[in-house]
Amino acid sequence: MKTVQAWLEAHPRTGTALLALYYLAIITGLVVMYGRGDFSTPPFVYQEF
Amino acid sequence: MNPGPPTRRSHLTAALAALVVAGAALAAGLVWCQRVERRYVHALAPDFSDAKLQGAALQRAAFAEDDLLILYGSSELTQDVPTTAVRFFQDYPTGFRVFPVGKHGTGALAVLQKVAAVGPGVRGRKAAFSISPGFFFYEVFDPGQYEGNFSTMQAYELAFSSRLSRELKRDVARRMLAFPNTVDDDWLLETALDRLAGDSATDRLLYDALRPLGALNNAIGRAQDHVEATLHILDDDTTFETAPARGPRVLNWSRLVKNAANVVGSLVEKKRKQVTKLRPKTSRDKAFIETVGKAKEWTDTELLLRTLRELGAQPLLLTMPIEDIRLEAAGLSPAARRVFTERLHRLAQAYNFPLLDFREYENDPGFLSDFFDHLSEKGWIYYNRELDNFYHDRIPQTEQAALPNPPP
Repeated sequence: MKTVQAWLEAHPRTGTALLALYYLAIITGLVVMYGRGDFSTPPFVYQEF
Repeated sequence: MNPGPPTRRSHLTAALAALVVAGAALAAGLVWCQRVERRYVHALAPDFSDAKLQGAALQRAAFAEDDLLILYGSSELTQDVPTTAVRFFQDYPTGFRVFPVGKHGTGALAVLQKVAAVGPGVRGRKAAFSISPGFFFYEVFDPGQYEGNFSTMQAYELAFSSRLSRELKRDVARRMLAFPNTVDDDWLLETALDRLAGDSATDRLLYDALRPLGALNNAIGRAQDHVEATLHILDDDTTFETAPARGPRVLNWSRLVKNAANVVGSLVEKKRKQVTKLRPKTSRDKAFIETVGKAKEWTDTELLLRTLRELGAQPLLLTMPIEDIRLEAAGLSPAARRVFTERLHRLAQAYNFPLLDFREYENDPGFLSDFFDHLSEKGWIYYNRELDNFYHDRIPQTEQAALPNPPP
């Protein structure tokens, strides 16, 4: 863990890029989980008229 | 200016970068979705999925195509009849195809929300509206039918539309709130409709305060609509042809009517048998005329016409004839029928929209396949002929070119 932290401190740009990817993954996850709307209708019994 | 500690700065930079990339990806994705919609919209004419009926993206895409004529209606559109408009015009015999929108129980209140959801895409565009008389034969039509056609996305588009006047939205909101089951679970929609319906100074203020939230909700709803439409197309892309076959030809309407007339004999026979069972012993005119007079569908139909006028659409209204045989089955006289047709004509005339009622076929028991406003193979030919005339800016061939005189 310390090695990773040290490496990230030594490469701040790569660290920021990895962080951006992490946030992007979170945003993508949220969009996938909650992004789809509900276009279905409640079931109803059709009575001819 | 304090730039903050390096770690916090890197978090902010990363978050900002992620938002920019996500935003760009979303925008590109939506552009791609719209391209897919445009590519497949012709093939989606015979489709009656929720993505098409409950959203607005595909209807908007259809309005943008010059060779598609949108036909709004209800259960008559989905019947398994070989000459329905969508099947009849499937190979663009005269240069266009019909794009039906509607299903069982799609009344005027549901249709107007669909049209409102399309919004500015309707301006200057032709659209046909099939009006079922049966909706007017009940004071309050079965709420389950409205609920079964309700779309939250379309309702939001109407409630927060910037194209429709506040007065129209107020009147529509009052009708929508008559079906509380549809809005109970959505506080924003319910509150917006309540405030529109209330129409006091406080209500107006609160509604205006909700508008940014409504606009944000509509933006999300439109994005979801595009995604849903595209997923639907991709799910079934093997069944949708991107370039349906075209077969231009001259249509011989009299021959088509004659051919269709030959196949409606059995259904006419069936209807005659039903009449002997159903025919009441006494006249039902009084109760019928009272009910038709109070039908909420009149309010909804007028709201639909107001919506069409405010959006600048060019509609053609069509309604099925109430056949003599149906009057017999219901214990009604021709005078009772006139109450409906004349009021509908007055309404259409008030908005200067053409209305075809096919009244010259009232004595033809083969125009409809049953007593529920479902067109027969023959009835559809008459409908198709008028849709063709409408699309090509020709004068209607039914007697409705001569409308009844307006009331004094």
